[in-house]
Amino acid sequence: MQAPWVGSAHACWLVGMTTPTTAPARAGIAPAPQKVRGFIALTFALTWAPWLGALALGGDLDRPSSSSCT
Amino acid sequence: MIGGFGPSLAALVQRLRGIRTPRSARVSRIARWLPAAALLGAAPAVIAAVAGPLFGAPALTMDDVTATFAGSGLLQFLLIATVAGPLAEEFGWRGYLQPRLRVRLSPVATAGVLGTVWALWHLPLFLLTGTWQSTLGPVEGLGFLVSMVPMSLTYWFISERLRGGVPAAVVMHYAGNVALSLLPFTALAGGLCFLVGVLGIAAALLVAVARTPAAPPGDRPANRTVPTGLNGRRRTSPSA
Repeated sequence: MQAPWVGSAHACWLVGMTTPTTAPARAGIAPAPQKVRGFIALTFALTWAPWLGALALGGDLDRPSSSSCT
Repeated sequence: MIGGFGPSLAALVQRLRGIRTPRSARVSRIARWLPAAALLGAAPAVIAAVAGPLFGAPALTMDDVTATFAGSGLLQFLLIATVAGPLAEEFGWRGYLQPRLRVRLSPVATAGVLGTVWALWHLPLFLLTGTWQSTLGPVEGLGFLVSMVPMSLTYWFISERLRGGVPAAVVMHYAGNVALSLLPFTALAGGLCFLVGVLGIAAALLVAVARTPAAPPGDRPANRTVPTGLNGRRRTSPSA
């Protein structure tokens, strides 16, 4: 007899690895890898430029409470 | 502080370029996604605070809790916690990137990619004095970065699966930041409990998703394929 967790684990594997694309596809977002790459590049540029600039200037944000974000 | 707005700013730039992202949030489902987002966001820090002392971490005192906002005041602390992280990031991560990754990838693969990008994005904060990340040791820091992959699965659950969209992600991020600030790690054991908590929540959600249908009938567009959520097979919903 199959242990109960085996069924759950198998279902999790299936839903995690093979669930077809759902809400975004239905909502009409076309697959566009360049838009993903462009967004990631833009995000890192907008973020890392000031952060690395601060690092180059001594690396102290001097605002402890404002940077505890995850 | 300004750099932290990168993800939401990038999403805004894309929007101004005419790249639109349909809203996925459903106000009618707020009774489901709002409490779920708040609870799931705060849960890992609460788990770490409760379980940490069982594994040798010093128990938190009320002074530890209030120390976070003792200097700035509670209102300023809550305001900063709303802006720094939740509003500054989620329009980008969950509002723009997640839906586009989901067009081609499964939820787990999406969480893997998004969580990795999200973690890499945080790296400079470890080098900047004055950030929370810079106070972490190497192991805690690695745990923080690793936790972002399973955490991304939880964000997927509340934003897409529960139809909470960006508002739910903002609430979850806010709850997570506030909980982590009020209940900080006091030792490595606490950090490990946090990571185990994040992993456990993601695993539990996978089990829950595997056992429940994908969406209630009212949310299904007519004549479109939707997943069963159990075996990955598509099925066609009836015409409206």
